[in-house]
Amino acid sequence: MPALEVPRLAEELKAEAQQAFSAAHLPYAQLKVAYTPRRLVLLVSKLAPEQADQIKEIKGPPAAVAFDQHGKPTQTGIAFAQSHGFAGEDLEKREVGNKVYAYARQTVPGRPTVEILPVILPTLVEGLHPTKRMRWDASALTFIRPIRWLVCLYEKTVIPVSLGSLVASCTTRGHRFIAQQKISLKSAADYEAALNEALVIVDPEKREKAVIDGLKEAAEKLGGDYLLDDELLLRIVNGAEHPTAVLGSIPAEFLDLPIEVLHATLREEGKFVPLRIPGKTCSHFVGFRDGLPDDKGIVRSGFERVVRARLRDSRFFFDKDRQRPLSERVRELRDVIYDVRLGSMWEKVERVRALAGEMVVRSGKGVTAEVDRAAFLCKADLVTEMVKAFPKLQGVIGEIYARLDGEPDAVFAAIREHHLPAFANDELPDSDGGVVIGLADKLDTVVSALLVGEEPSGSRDPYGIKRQANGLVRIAIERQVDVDFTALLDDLQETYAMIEKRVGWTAVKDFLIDRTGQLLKQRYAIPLDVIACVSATGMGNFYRVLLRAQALIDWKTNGAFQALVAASTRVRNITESTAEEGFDPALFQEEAERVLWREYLKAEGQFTLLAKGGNYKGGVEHFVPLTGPINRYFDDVLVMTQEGKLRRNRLGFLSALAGLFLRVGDFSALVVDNT
Amino acid sequence: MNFEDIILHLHDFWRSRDCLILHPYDVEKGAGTFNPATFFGALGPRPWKVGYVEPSRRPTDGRYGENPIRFRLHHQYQVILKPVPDDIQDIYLTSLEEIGLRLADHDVKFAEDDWESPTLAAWGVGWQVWLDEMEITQFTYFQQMGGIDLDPVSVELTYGLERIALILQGKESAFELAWNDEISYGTLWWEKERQFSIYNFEAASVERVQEMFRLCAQESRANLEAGLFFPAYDYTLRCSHLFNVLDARGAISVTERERFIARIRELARECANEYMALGESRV
Repeated sequence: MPALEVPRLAEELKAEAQQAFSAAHLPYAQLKVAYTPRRLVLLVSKLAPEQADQIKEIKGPPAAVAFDQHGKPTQTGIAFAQSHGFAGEDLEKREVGNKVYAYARQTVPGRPTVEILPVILPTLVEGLHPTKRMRWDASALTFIRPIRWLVCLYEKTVIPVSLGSLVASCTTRGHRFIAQQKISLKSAADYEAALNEALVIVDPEKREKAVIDGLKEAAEKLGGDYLLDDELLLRIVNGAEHPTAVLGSIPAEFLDLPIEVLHATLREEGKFVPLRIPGKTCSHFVGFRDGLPDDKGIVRSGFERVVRARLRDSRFFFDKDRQRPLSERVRELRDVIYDVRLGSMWEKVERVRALAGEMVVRSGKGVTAEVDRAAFLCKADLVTEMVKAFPKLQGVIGEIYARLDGEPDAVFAAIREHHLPAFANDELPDSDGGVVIGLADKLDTVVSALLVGEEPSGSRDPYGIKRQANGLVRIAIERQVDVDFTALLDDLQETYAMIEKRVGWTAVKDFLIDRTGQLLKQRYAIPLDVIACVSATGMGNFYRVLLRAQALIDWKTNGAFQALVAASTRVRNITESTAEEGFDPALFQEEAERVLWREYLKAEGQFTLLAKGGNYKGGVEHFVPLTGPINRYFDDVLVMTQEGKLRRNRLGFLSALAGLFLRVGDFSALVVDNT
Repeated sequence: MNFEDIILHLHDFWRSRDCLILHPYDVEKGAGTFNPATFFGALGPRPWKVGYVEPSRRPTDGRYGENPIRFRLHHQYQVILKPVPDDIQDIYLTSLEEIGLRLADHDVKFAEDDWESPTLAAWGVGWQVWLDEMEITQFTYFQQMGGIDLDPVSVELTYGLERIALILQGKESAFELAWNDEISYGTLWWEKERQFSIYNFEAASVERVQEMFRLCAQESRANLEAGLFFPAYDYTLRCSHLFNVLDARGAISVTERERFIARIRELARECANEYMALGESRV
């Protein structure tokens, strides 16, 4: 079975079994699963020999109706009993409260476990969810790989579970190569020991320990450590029934290859673990044999042959790549189609350069010349042999080659970093160049895909648009990029003029804004009402959206702010349907109008100053004093006066006031406790 | 065991397991799977057991003769068994012992590999067999061929003969292998590897090869329209090979690839459909 899938199937088996035994009223002391590449094992200890007796009962009509004067069941009583699967004899009287009812009651004796198991066990296997199902014979049985035998024992008794054309027995097999004999199990309790003797380690934790111990021993002998990641470990642990470490060495002729290349070559397909020896490059590795120690050295020779062959491939790629500097490869991007509707990779690079240049100016991050150089080179590694062979090394190879070509630090760092984040919780670019080009690249990918009509959904997003958009928003927020992306898109429509568009720019902006809303909720724990509040207005500057949201979270629980919310809602409600803009303070008549106006000017000035630096929390503080004046305004001023000129003027002023609050959000959307 | 010995032993072994011993097909292809004995043999309910050698051309694997285990032409030994024997893994392992591999001295793994051929509209589930972490056999239970779900399922065993010979003869490079006791593999194949690498990577005329592709696709379609699916399949094979040449030549970009593959797949599907439509009377 596939190494990465077996653990999940085992977990499913466990969950299914727990449920099945519970539903069948079969208690046990412990239930666990074990597995190897060719076995899935369910081990249950102290499984009850039979089901507990089950009481079945149901309440019936009043006793007076169900029983006659002799205490025998009447027709009514019997009919009731039978309609629920009981018999007349099962009826009894029972007092409930101060009435007497008929109850039908049956004791269903528990069946022996050995009778139940053949019924429930096949459903466990059928209830598993392998990623793929295959057929292999005439039976209707499907699974992830062909099932070749079944073993089932309850203590010493064979349970003849049947699945497809197989019937379970007490015969299992030992390790395929080092202990081939068939094993006849005497009892279930013997299982693990019998298999250990046959050189099969069924417990994955024990296999993992054997692997780690093997790695430690090999690494310590050479004074270094080993480079292991979760996936490589899983592939090794679940690739053998008896993993045994074999140390191998790499010939000196390959050791000048970049270390990332050495590592990638070794780890591919989960075969070898690189060893790191301080002061030396990656000169040794550890492979794992499914069997006993490699006394004859034949397996070591074999492993080393494979490693040499692969390194020769990598050497071939590297040498071919290094025949020309990275910069000379850029023009080859003209022949690489990015997307039929969007042109070549070269054209994408041109767009990214334009976007990145704008991003430098607007964000104040990065040096124009360096960013432009890095943007020019950032996709060149796609046409290298090394990246074609190891696609995961995209970016890493670009960085290495640019460095070898003598490009400045800022340039080669950005080439690698602009791909980040590669997955949901990956790191973000650190350098300014990486940030700016990362943003430009992702923005172009998302915008251009949406414009030509791609519609990413939960189940289908072949261009990774959602992931790219998430990365974009994350970088903007967490690297504090003070740029309004919707405004940026408005200014850059020229760049996309040549593309045949299926949707409009509004849809593109809405998509980005929607992504921001999703991230605020999922990643930055912003409550829904705060999201609704900030969404009412300018969401294009993602960084500032978060600052506004955080300020609101801080203020939400404050009593004085809550009073402001109520007051501002009055302002919002009355101006909602108005289109009045502009006002003339000279037309104010009431004292309340002038007071509010003066407070408005103060608040607006202070808020603007603080908001400029991103201090929305401090800015909102200056809104609070407006509460009183607003309420007084509504007490004293008739906004909807008959006099047209006055009315329009008042609405105009209130609109400006509403607009001030909107620079943070629509407070009426906030859920506050108004006591 | 020299190269010839290995092949003859495999022929003997599979013949003793009631396989029909066939021959390589005489149209260029990248794998034994493309041989009509496999493509058509896997379809339909009739039992089928074959074994044959298949020299397989893979232009992108060319290395100018500088790589010891990778080249643009390698030799496969192809076995198809339909229906699949229950103990097929054991039978396969026995075949390895028969050709002189003492498995107890080595490391053997069945590593998951789900094979897929987009051009043949085929897929299967199974393993790569790794001997000391070197892939020596593709072991696949076909589930679909030419877009048609298979019933019964066939198993395909594709032995990589060069790799196996390297291990048996303890050689570093395939070119050093003994083809027979007098002549080396390199004597027979090195210069061809060099010339074909140059051709596939550098010299092939993109224009002419593209034109040949177009003509072969048209000829295949014309044959299908006339109900001549066997000749149509030959031209489908040629399209597939020409695509591989263009690919090695670097003349196919990421999205164009999909369109080429789709065209070939369409032809393969129709060949399969016409074959199935023939019913009981099929040859």
